[in-house]
Amino acid sequence: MTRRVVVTGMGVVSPVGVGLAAFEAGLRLGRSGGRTIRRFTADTFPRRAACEVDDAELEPFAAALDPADRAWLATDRKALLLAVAAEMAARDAGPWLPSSPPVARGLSFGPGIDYVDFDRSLASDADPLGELPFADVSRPAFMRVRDAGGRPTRMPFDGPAGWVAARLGFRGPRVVNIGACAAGAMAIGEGFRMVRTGRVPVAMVAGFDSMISPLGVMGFSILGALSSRHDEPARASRPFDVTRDGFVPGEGAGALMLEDLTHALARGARIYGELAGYGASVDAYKPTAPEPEGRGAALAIAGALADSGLAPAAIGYINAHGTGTPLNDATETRAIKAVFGDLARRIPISSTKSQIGHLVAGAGAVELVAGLLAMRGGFVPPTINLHAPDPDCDLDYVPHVAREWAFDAFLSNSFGFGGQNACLAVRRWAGKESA
Amino acid sequence: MTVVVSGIGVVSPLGEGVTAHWARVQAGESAIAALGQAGDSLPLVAGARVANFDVKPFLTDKKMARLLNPASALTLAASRLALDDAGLDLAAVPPARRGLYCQTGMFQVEGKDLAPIVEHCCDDGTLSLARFGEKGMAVINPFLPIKTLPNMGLGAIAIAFDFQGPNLVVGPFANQGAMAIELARQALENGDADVCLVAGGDAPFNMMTVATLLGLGVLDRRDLPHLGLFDPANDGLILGEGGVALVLERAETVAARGGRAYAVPGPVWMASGEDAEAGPTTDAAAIDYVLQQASAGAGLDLVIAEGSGIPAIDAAERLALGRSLPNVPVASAKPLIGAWPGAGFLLEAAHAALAIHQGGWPAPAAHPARALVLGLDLAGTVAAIAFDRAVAGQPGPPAASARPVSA
Repeated sequence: MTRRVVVTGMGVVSPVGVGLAAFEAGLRLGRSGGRTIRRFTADTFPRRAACEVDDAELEPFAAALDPADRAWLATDRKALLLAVAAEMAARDAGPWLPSSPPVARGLSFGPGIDYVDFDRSLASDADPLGELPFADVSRPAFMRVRDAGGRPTRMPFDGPAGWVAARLGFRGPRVVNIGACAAGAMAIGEGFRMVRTGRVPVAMVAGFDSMISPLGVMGFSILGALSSRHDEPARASRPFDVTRDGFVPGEGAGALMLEDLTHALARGARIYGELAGYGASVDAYKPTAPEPEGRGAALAIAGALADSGLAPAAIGYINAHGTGTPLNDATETRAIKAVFGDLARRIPISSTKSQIGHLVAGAGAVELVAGLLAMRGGFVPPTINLHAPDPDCDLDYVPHVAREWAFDAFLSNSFGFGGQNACLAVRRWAGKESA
Repeated sequence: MTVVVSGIGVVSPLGEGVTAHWARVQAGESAIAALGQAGDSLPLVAGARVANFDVKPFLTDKKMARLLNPASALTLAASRLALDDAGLDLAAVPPARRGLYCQTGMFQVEGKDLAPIVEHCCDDGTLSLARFGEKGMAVINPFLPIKTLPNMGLGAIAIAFDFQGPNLVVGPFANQGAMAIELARQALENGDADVCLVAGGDAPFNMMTVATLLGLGVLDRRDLPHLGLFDPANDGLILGEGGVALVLERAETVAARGGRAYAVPGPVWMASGEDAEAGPTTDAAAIDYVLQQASAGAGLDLVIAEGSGIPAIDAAERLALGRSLPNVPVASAKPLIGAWPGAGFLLEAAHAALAIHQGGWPAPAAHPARALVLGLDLAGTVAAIAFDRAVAGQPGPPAASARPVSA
């Protein structure tokens, strides 16, 4: 028997606001998180714009973490962002812990892939017991395996999941999905299935990332994926604009509590919306370029619609993947048209990445939170910096300013390097909403 | 509905292809040896390495080889072997109905990839960010960012065999392989796919992975190329490498085309230990819980244990096995092929299916009808799947669902 799955708690850490209220305000105001990189000295880097989480906004939330935890989490920026979002989501979901044992609480996470801290890994003053030599270079150089505090200099992908399992009591089935730009959405999709199939009554799902690091920025620069507009970082992310020239790397975390509807109703939980469907596909085309007609993306979108039982005409908003790369935005537009036909022109579509940059593994989760807040608040977040629409991107992308718009169902798209595509379908829960 | 394992592919230190590999497993041959030159100057004494592996014969587009890191290459090779072993006519399955679930290992950066950075961008071994920013694009291998993407193996397999349907990359540690089997099984049961490939690979003999495992303090540092199952002399992981893939299909599909059904995978049971925050668990209650849930129903003939060689983990596992399944024979292939930190569960799942279908392991006369694979991975999770002999017309195992628990 399948269960209906609802979202009963959310936490978000983003470049335009930490916490649900601040994030929603940032979305409504069309705020840009773009600025010149401050997380490290990037003066000589080929690309220097990023959307960073403001430490002053993060600090009040991070300060609430156990000091010992915080020291450990501080070894990995994205783990700290996740911890704050996960605690926020657990608190937001209300007093539910007694209703399910720890081994009946699932986890499905999409962690960031960049867990190499160059500053701490490459150093000449390493503890001799904790370093590896680079034997194939001419002069001594070392990779440290532990820092001065004895902590590993690299946190495995699922270190943050272990933290949530141990500290927040999610000790049941765990999926750690390492899928690049679609990781967050796919993690949510698998968590959704975990609850829908009755495997667990509740699951925490999350996506989190920070690739604003020397290796991350350099890697994306080599791939030619980043915008070159360093001199105007707040205007660098411009999805669907004819002058777009790449994405702006961002950082952040989104965490959501998914719950069996019956379980949620029994405890009188607040319900943000019903996660109704999930579709996934692979392009099987090229490792770093989407299939140009959007075949794979369309397959994922159509899959999510079919899975949810929602008719295309029921969709009132699409939160686009909308990276701002020349290839993605045109391909995504074709995919939407392929699925929706003439209806595509009547659906407001926007790219949250225009405001917060590309959160890579965190994107799908933070953007799903954006969609849920928009559905609850009766507005569509804008696509900022969209001044000259690309002729190949000819749909309604809600340029510049948020739009007051009531809708009862929406889609959230995520497409990734490697050809992975994911789409989540959400509808308003029409029953009692208040706790 | 019953889902079965219909194809197996292995590239291991014991051989390429399931026939060669399984014959040497049955013979009890160990590939663990002193590494010497094969250790690439890593601080490891022993390991189990795949000799002379070349991915190009497995590729239609040979240029794809330069985009594959070693683990992805092994995964792709095993995938082709598994599809061949299944005898599938893939052309009869629409690409969108082919599901792909991959297990990726640790971050794949080799010393040779970082060496140019150290040479051109460091002062006495300390990274100069200014010079890295200035020279990085010129000195870094332009294929490195692609090679290091952990989902690139899935992308390459999808391209090579035109898999376009449901998919996921899980990792980095071994019990995510159990989840990959589970998700593929569900995709078939739910009708989302008609065939699923579950594949994983490990190539841990690189500086980044070894540094991570050293940081976790789980590597064997003895001057001894030997691992014994639950041997008190064990000191930690002795690493191995390779690739493994399973083809999963609905039983009726396999029967209709006259295919082979190796075994029936049951649902995965998984729990995190209370101490699971930053490393493997010694929480015997969590192990007990998983064992009890996964072994419910018919009796077991074999447990394939983790047997990692990490002393504290071995002790906890042995205690739980003695308590929960005291009379069931216990085996592990780790003394033969070392620990695969990422794809280890998948490999032991292949062994369970082979033992059930072909017999002859762990003893020459052994031929289990039901075998349970237990995994205790470096992420602190405990996972188990029971595999049953496929019997025509017999319904599959009941679905796992939240039920009263004691842990």
